[in-house]
Amino acid sequence: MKSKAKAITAYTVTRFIIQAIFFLFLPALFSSAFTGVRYIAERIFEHEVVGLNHFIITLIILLSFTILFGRFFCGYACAFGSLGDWLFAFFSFVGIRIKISGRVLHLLQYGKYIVLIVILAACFTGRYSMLAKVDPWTLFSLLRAGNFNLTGQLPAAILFLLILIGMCFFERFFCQFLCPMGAILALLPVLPFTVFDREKENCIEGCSLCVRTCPAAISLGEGRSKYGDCFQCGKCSAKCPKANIRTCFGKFRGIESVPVLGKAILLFVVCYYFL
Amino acid sequence: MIGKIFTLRLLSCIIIVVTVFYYNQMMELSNALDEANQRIETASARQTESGRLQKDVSNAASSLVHGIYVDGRYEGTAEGYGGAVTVEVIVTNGCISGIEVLSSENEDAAYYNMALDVLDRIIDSQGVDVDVVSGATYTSNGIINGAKDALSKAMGE
Repeated sequence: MKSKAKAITAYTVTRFIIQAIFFLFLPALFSSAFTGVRYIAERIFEHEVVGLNHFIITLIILLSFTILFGRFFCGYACAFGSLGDWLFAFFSFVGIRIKISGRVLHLLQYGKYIVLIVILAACFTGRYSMLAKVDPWTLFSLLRAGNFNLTGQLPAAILFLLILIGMCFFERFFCQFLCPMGAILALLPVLPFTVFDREKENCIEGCSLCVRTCPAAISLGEGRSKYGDCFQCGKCSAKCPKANIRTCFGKFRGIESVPVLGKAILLFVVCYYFL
Repeated sequence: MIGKIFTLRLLSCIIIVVTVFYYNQMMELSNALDEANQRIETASARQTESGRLQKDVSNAASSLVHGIYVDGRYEGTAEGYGGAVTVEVIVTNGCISGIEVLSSENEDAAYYNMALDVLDRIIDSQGVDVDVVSGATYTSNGIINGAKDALSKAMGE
């Protein structure tokens, strides 16, 4: 039992360090990748050639990384996701927490696709400048860069504040319900190597700890349709009393520090090399 | 292990990527065609002009080439995305002949590299009244305003 607690602590610390490093050194990956998506849509609207710029390169890196390893980026490297994790961790430490049922959660998870469709439609019709006024990411990146000159950002500031409040009470509020980049990553075909899976036949009768622990209320081991919403926080695997949740065809639990660190270093090096 | 959903998603991805590539090829072709047409037009226009006229024009052009700025190197600073952006503008023969970013410590790499396009735009237009790079507005404005600051020192008396 003691070694299990130790493993969980090691995992939590590893994840925090990875998130902090990406937050400090590569904080704009999520927004530059999505600017790439918008750039493609806008160029097509303008009937111009889509050039291979840094936004597109960031987008290609994130898409290929997600196809290979699942939404590792969302869980470990996205600055906005990390912000949400830290806010939520603080508030649940204080003891404030709101629980919603899995079914409602699954319904709300479709929200991000609506956001994505609205933004893409705006880009394809050349009306994105209207939406840019409420872009909370620009505001976030300005604040993170220490630029507090926020003239003309009131609509964005209100939306950002609402998102922050949501982040405090629901784990990964923005990522699950609103993030357009998350929507794209959730739709990708993910290779099965590092995806969490459950060997259901070994489960303790009636135990559903993993589903209840999962911030996205994913029920593992029952078909692959909902796997797009897994951002690999690893909480299911850490909590499982029988170490029944595994990745890589049952070889790893998915929360061992070495493979997690390996993926993080790979992503970091690739981003640093190309950007 | 690799099920129906995976195959479906993979296929959609491939379709999207191929569409964008195909679109790009088409656009490059049509751009090349436009350019070729324009060249033919200018070439035929040139042929009809007399040699004397051409000389006049080139004389007038050479007097215009001497721009309005005072020669030298000028530094300017402005607020970018995450702090100050310092640029250096080089003026020779009264024209902006070069522009360089000296420091931009707090700019994000991807946005910064995109925004560098405004350097060429400033040289091409010989002024700071240029469009920002869409998607990299803050850094672009930092560079443009830095150049504006530098050129204000190059206006002479």
